[in-house]
Amino acid sequence: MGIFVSVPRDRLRDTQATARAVFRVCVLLCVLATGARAQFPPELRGRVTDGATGAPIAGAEISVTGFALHVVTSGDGTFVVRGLTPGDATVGARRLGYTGRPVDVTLANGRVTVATISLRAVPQELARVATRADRDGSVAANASRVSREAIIASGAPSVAEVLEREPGVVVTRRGGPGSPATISLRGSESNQVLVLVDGVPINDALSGVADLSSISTSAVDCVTILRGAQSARYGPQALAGVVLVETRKPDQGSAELTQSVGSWGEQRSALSLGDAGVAGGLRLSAHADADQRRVGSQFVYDVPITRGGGIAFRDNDDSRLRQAVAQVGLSSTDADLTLRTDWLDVDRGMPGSIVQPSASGRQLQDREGAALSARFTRSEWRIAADVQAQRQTAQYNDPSPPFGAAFETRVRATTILGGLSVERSVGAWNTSGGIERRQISATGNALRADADPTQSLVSAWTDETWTHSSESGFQFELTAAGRVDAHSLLPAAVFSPRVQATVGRGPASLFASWGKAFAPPSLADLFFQEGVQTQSNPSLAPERVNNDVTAGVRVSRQAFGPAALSGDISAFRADVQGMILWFPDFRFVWRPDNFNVTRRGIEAQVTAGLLDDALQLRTNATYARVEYAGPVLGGQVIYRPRVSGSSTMTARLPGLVTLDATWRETGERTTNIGSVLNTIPAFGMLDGAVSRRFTTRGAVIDVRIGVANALDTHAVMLPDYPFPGRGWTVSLHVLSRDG
Amino acid sequence: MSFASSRIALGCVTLAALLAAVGCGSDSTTTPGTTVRGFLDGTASDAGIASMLSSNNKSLVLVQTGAPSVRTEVPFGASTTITPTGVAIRGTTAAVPLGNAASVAIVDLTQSAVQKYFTFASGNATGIAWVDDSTVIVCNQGHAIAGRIRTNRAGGAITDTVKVALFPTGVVVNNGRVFIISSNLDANFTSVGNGVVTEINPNTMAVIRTFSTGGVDPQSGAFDAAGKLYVTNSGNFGAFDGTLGIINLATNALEQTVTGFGDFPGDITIDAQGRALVSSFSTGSFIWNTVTKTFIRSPTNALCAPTTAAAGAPCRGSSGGAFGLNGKIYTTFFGSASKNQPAYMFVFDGTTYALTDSINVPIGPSGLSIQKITK
Repeated sequence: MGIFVSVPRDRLRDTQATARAVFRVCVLLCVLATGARAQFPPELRGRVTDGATGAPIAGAEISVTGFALHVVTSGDGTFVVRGLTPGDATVGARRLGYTGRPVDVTLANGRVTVATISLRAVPQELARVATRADRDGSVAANASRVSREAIIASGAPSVAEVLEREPGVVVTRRGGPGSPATISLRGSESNQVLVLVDGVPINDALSGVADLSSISTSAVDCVTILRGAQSARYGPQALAGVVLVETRKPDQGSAELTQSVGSWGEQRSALSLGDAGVAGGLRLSAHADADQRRVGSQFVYDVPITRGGGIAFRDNDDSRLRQAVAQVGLSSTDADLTLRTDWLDVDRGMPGSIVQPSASGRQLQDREGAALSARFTRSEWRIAADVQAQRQTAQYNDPSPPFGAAFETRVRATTILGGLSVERSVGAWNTSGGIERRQISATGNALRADADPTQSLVSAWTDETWTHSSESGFQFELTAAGRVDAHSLLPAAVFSPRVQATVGRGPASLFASWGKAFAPPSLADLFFQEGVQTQSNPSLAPERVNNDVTAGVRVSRQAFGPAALSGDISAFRADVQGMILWFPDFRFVWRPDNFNVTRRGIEAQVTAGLLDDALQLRTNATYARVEYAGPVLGGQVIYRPRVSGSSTMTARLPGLVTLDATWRETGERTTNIGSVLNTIPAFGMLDGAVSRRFTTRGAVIDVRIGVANALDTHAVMLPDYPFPGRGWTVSLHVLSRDG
Repeated sequence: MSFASSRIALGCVTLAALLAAVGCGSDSTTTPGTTVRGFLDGTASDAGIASMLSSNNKSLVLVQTGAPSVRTEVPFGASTTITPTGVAIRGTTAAVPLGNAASVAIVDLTQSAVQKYFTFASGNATGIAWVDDSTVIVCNQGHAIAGRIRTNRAGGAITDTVKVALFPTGVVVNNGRVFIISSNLDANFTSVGNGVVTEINPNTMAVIRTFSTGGVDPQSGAFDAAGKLYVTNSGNFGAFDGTLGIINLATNALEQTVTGFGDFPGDITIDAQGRALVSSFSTGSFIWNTVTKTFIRSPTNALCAPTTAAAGAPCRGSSGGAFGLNGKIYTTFFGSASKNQPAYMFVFDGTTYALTDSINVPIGPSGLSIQKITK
C-alpha cells in the first residue's frame, strides 16, 4: 500500500537518526548548562521465567537487597530497575504459585547488569496476591491490565478498542470508527466509571462521562481496569470501577512510528521520540508523542423500515483527532521528577439519529494539561507528590438541525489537582495513605444561572495490606482501605471503605472483597439549562453502592504437556441506590431522578496456550443482571446486555507471521422498561488480522493488515446509530532498536 | 440471547461453551403481536375495544373492555425517535403517527402487525384522523403542515401537504370537513398567541379558513351532536388557566370560551348525551355538560383515582379518557417512574362516577379511545 511508498525504510532511518541527533544535542546542552558530570547509576535488567517450561512469568515482584522496590515484571517477564547504588546485591522474584532462588549480582556505575531468574511452579514461598493487574488478562478477576505490547499488536487506535475485549466491559459507540465511545462496567452508567490518564480524570465536567475515543494509544504504556467499588482509593465516580491509563514514562522508548490507512478514509500517523542521558548521578530523559487520526464518513447503512427502508450513506460522520504528549524526567538514586504536558484537539461531525440525520451538527473539543510529579524513596519509605492542571473546552453546535431550534452549546472546565501520598513497606505490612485536593471550575451556556461554577473535593485515604506465607504452603493477603471525601455538591463528607482478602495455595487462589462507593450527580443532572423538553433536578441525591461484594477463584498458568491454561471466575453483587436515570414525564419532558437498581453477575475468562504459546486462545464472558428495583420499573435496565464476551485466537507462525481472530459478542438489549417489545437483537462481530515482523539492524518493523467486522454484520449498539460494515486497515509500526 | 448458528466462528463456539460451563442463563424473549382469535370482536356482552399508545413500550395497546385481561400489543420499533401519542382507527385498520420518526404506521389490526409506513421528509408526525376509508390526514408539528395519506397505496413519502398554523397537534373530521388544531407554539415550545384551527379541503389540500380557539396551547377537539367543535385550551402548565373554546361550524366563528377548565386540560371526547369528558394530567378527568354548559364533575371534583388509600389523598392525573360501549367511563393514568406509580386504565361508573376498577397497562398510555371494531 501507499505507506510503503511514502515511508521507505532507509528514509525512515535517516529521519529517525536526524531526530535522535537533534534530541541528543538538546539533552547534552541541558546537561552542560547544569554543569553536571556524567555518571550513570547502576541499572538492572532481567527476565523471570518458568524453570520448567521456559515461559515468561508476568507480574513477578522483584526485590533487590537494600532497596524498597515496587517493580513487577511485564507481560514478557522482563523488568528494569534503575537508581541503584553500586555494589553486590541479591535479586529475588516472587510470584503467587512459584518459588525460586535469588540471584547474586554485582552492580556498577555506568553498567547495565542482566539477571535471569528461574522460578518453579510449586505451592511454596509465593508472592503476595493482589488485585493489581500483572499481565495481559488479569491477575484477579476484578482487575486486568493491557500492556503496550498487546495494544500495539491489537492495532487499536484508541483506548476504546483496547477495552472492548476485556471482561465486564461494554463500550458503546454512536456509529463509525471516529465516533464518541463510552464505557460501562458490570452494567453501570458511563458516568460511574472513573477514567484517569496519569491520575487526571478525563470524565467530562458536565456529564461525568469519559470519551474513550479521545485517548489515542500512541502515548499509552498500559491500561488497567479495576472493577467494582473503588471509591476507597479513587473517590467519587469510582462506583463501578476505574480505568487507569498510564502514558509512557519519559525514559521509555526512543523512536517509534505508526502509519495506517483504512476504510472510510481513515488515516492515522503517530510518532514517538525519546532519549535519555546521564550526568552527575542524574538521569535526564525526555519523550514526546504526537498522533493524528482522520476518519471520513459515508459508510452504508440500512435505513429503518419506519423511514421507508433501503440503504443510505452516513453523512457528517467524519472526525479528526490530534493529540500530543511531551514529558521530561529527572531521576537520581532515590528521587524522580517528571513534568508532563498534553494537548488534544477533536473536530467531528454529529450526524445524529439515522431517522433524522443532521448534516450540520459539529462537536469541537480541546484539552490541555500539565502535570508535575515527584517521587522520593528513602529506605522503606516512598513519598509521592503531584500537581496537575487541565483545561477542557467543548462546543456542540448545529445551525440547521433536522428539527427544533438551532443551538450552540459551550462548556469550559478547568481542573486543578494536588496530592501527596506516603507508602511504607516493613516486613509483611505495606501501609500507604495520602491526601488529595481537586477543584473543577465549569462555565458555559449549557448550565443554569444558579449553578455553582466551582466544585471542590478534599479527600484523605489510607490503605493497609498484610501478606503472609504459611509453612503449609498457604498465602494470605488482607487489605483494608478507606477514604473520606468532602465534595462541594454533597451536604456531608462521604466515607468509602473497602476490604479484600485473598488466600492462595499452589496455583489456585480465592479472593473476596467488600466495599462502598459513590458518585455525585453530574452538573448536567443538577443544573442543565432547562430547554425544550428537558429539565434538570437540583435535588438529586448521589448514587451509592453500599455493598459491593465480589468473590472468585483464580488459577494461574498451569502446564499440561504442550498446553498451558490459566483462568479466573468471579461473581459480584453491587446494587446501586439512587442510580440517576432520565425519564420523560407525562408532558414528555425528560428529567433525571434517583432509582434503585440491582446489579449482580459473573465474569470469567480463560487463557490457553499451545506449543509454547504458538497458538493462544483467550476467552471471556460476562453475565450482568442489572434490573430496576421497584413496583413500577422492572426488568433489565435498558441498553444493558446481560451477556457479553469475546474470544481471541492468536497463532504465531514461522517467519514472524501472526494471525489474530477475535469474536465479540453482545447480547440483546431491551429498549423499553419492563418490556421485551422492541428488543435490540444480539450481535457478534469477527475481526481478523495478519501481521508480519521484519527486523533490521536498526529497527523492528511490524506490518499489519486488519479486517474489522469481517462478516459484514449489520448491527447497532444503540438504536438509530448503526455500525459500519466490513472495513480494513493496513498499518506499519516501526520501532527503533534502541527502544 | 442466541448465537447465530450460521455465523460459525471459533471464538463464538468457545464463548458459548464457557457460558454453558459457568451456567449463564439466556434472556428469554416473547414474540409480540400475536393476535387472539376473535379478539377484535370483544366479548359477547361488550364489543368495546380500548386502544391506546404506550410511550414507554412504543406500541399500540388494544384491550377488550369486556375482559380487560385480554389484550394485544403492536410494537413499532426500538428507535428513540418513535414517540407515538395518538391513534385513529377505521374498520380494522389503525393509523398511528410515530412522532419524531416523522412517519405514520398503518396497522392491520387483524394481524396485529404494521402493514406499511408513510414518511414525511423530516419534522415529526403527530395528530391524525381518517377522512374516509382510504384517506388519512396527519400533522407535522416541526414544519407546521398537514399531510394527506392514501392508505390504499403501498406506502412511501407524504407529498400532498398544506401549510397550517404553527405546531399542529390534532386533526378532527366532521361530515367531510377537516380541521387542524394548532397549539401555535414556536420552536422553543413558547406560545406565540391563541391557538388556531385551520379548516382544510382534503381533496385539494388547500386552506379554507381559520378560527381562533380562544385560548393558549390547544391540545384536542371533539364535536357534539349539533356539529359544534369543542377545543381544550391547555393554557400554561401549573397556572390552572385551562379553557374550552366552542366553535360554531354553522357560523364559522368562535362562539364561546369557557373558563374554569383547571390545569392543562388535554384530551376531550363527547358522548351522545352531550357529556364532554376532559382529561387533565394534574387533576384527573372532569365532565362538562355541553347542553347545560355546566360542570357535572368540575376540576375540583374530578373523577378521582386517589394516589393512596388515605382519606383526602390527591387524585391521579389523567392522560386520556373515553366513554365505553358498556356505559362506563375509562381514564388512563400515565404512571410516574420517579414516584414509583404504575400506569393504569381506571374504570368509573357511568352514572355515579364512582371508581369501580383499575386495569394495569404499559407505562405512558395516551390517546385512549374505545370503539367497536367493524370488519
